[in-house]
Amino acid sequence: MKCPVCGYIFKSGSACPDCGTDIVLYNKTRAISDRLYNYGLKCANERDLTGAIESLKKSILVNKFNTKARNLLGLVYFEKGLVADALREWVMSSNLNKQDKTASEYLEKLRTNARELEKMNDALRLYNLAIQYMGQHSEDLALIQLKKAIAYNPKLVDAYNLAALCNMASGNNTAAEPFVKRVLYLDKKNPTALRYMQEITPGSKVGETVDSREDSAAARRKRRLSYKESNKSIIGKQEILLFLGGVVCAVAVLMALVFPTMLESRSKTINELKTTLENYESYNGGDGSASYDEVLQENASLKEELEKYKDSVVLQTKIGNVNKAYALLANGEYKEAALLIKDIDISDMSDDDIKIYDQVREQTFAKAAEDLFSEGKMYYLSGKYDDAENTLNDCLDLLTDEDYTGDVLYYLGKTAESKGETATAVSYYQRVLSDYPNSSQAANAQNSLNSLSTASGSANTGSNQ
Amino acid sequence: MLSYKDELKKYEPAMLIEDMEDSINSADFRDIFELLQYLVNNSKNKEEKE
Repeated sequence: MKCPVCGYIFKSGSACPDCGTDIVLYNKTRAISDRLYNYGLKCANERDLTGAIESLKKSILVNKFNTKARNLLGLVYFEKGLVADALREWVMSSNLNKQDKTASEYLEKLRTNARELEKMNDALRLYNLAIQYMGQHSEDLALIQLKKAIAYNPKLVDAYNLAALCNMASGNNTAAEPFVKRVLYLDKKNPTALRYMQEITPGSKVGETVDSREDSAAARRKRRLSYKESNKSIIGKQEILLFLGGVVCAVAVLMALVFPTMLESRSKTINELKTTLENYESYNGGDGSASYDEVLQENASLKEELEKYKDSVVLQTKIGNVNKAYALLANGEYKEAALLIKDIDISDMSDDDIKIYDQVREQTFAKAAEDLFSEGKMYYLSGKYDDAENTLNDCLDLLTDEDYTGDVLYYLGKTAESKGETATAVSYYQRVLSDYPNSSQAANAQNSLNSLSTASGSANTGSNQ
Repeated sequence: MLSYKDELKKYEPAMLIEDMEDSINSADFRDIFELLQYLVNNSKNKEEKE
């Protein structure tokens, strides 16, 4: 036989010869402690926290080295919100049995959640404060503290009980009921809560209601199972026949209701299209050719209208230029005024506008022509033949019967000759001799013509040779 | 009918974490086995003396 305390092996006797431990007593107390632990575990599993605590406390009382019972007791305390009691049990457990790591793990978890632990401790502090307030008959203050405590730790069973008592003391049993129910949810067989519930609802069997909740859940499970089982038995020929019948009915409904509606909507669409086509044909005159003619006619009228607008724009521009020239005349700018109106066609202008035009023309053309002749001659003499040609041509447009028209033509010929345009020059010289034989430049024109003829003749002779 | 005063007496202040150390020291008790062992040993000693 081996002594469970010191490990000494001996042959006979009820006590260890080495340490004096009574083996029978030892074994019996261990067995009682374990039995109490088992009962405590059962209570804890059934969420009878008060019963579990009572049993586990006894277990430890019989054998203080029963660390399993101690660890479980700590856990149940923790579940009831009594965190300091839980810590005490786990600390003692870890010290009594260093090999058992369960308590160390619990402590480690709490250490890592120090903030939560502090909140739970604050909840206990508030609970203690509420007890003090209630001792002073300050139920309202106590209730505030208790609500805070519950907010910090929603598992603090004693706080719920005290809150219920607080409400009951104020005669508010309705407000007390939720607290009591909460306690009975957390700790099913809490004697205080059961008593309070009896007080609030006389004749109610709270324990039964809690149990009945389980029963109803079990009944639901049973019903679900029986339904499944019954479902299994239903699947057969009858169900298949019903399904086929349903399909046939659905097809019949489809044929009777849906298809006619679809056909009706389609025929409606066809009719609408027909109506649209008829309207279109009537608009086109049956074959569509009339429409094309109409389009052409319309196009022509639009073009005519556009031309009218264009003519109107041109006329307005001409009137605008005449008025502008009139204004230039007033400023003494004869040349600019004359050049602005020299190309204007006055055939479509109103009489009033023509009068203005004539007035400007009479007062500007002669003076402007003189200026332009002088200017053109200067351009020729300075070798600016293009400017000379343009200016002299403008001058020629403004001239009517002036006696220097032959001179203008002569200089245009000289300019063309200088630019190498011999034929143009010859034509200008010939015009001087034929149209203005009395011009001062007639002799010069003849000489220039002769020299050009000589030059061309010698050139021809040279080429023939 | 509940008596508020009596009911209130049943509520004791909960132990706080800061009070836990004292609680652990006072918990160094003898368990029933140790007590029984003590009693058995005492009775044996008495018998031996007699």
